[in-house]
Amino acid sequence: MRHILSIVILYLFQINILQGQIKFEKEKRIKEKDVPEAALNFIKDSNIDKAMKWYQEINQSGTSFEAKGIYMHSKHSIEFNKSGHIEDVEIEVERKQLPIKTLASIENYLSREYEAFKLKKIQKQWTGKAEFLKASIKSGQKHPDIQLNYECVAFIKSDGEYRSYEFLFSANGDYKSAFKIIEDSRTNIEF
Amino acid sequence: MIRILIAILGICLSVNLQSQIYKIGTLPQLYITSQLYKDYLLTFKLESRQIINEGESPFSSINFKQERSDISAFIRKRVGFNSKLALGYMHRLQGKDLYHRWTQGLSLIYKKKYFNLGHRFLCDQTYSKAESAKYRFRYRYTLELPFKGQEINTKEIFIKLGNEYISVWQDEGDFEFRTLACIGYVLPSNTKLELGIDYRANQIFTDQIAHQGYLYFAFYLKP
Repeated sequence: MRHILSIVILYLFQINILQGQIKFEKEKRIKEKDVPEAALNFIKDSNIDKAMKWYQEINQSGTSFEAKGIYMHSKHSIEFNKSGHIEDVEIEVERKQLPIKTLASIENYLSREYEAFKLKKIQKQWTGKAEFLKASIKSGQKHPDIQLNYECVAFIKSDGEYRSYEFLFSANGDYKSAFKIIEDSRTNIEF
Repeated sequence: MIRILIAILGICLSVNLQSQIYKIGTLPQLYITSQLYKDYLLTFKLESRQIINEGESPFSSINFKQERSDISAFIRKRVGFNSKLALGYMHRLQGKDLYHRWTQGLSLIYKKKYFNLGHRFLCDQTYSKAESAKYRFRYRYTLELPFKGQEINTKEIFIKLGNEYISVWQDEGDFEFRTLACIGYVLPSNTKLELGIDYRANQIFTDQIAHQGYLYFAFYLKP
């Protein structure tokens, strides 16, 4: 009996080998005093007058800082590299806010590649020079010199398995990349 | 601190001091979940219950005793974007009596903008030589929301609230109501701690309503 119990416990603690590109992301809430000054200045210069939550993020690309909060009625995530220089601005949008052709292109791709899908979250992603990103945040409109992509989190069904993926599409809805997401545990609300 | 919490539980249970039975105690739980093959998950649950006070008044003398110990195993499979089916078995030792429970369930979990919402439907059948068989149908909804901000992240506090409605058949019908309120904390590697109050009322349609209040703490581990 003891032998069987040992095998069961060892099995529970086994390391699972995952295949494919995986979105590895660990977020840690941090205080403003731990954020690089360049990042704090960017937020101040963007005229964001709402309190932002700051996070230090460790992902497959390295370490970064992220400011999250609601500004101009939309959820904003502003990401900085470890020196505090801007990397991108992501703003959550509804499905209906996407151009019709872009949405159709995204949904056509997903329905072609997977047995089933469900879009959970869509963010428009702005990348470019800091001055143009600040101007875009202040006005709420994309500056012409800013590059636009769409980052989508979707449930997909593939080979009978259900998974969450983060996709990156161009402004026209052309596929660029995908990362599998390791989901948060929900055991405490399932039991 | 324990006496203050018992007093709070006692006040919550003091709805009507006539024809009531009260039971106050603690309910520690441990959950260990492991990913099996593809969309299959295996969860082991250890739970025990200790009774601190039992009688016709919630304020009678404190008398600590170990009431029961449960060990359960559940296999869950994702069957939809938000849904999982579960099959489980529980083995209970209560005094010198053994109980066996079989469980079948469906859970629906939704990640909303500012909170997570779970619906759980369960059927369970409990067998023991000490009592006649018990059959239950259960529905529970649970809300999980961040204490601050819009999302629950690692090293942050969250609040969990839930209500459960249970239809029971054991020789005759009964109805049980449960409510849970707790504070939780997310540790790294998807580990969660919870501490709160679990209140239950059954024998609702009889002359003697039974109230139970437990100080509940749970540890969810996903190695």
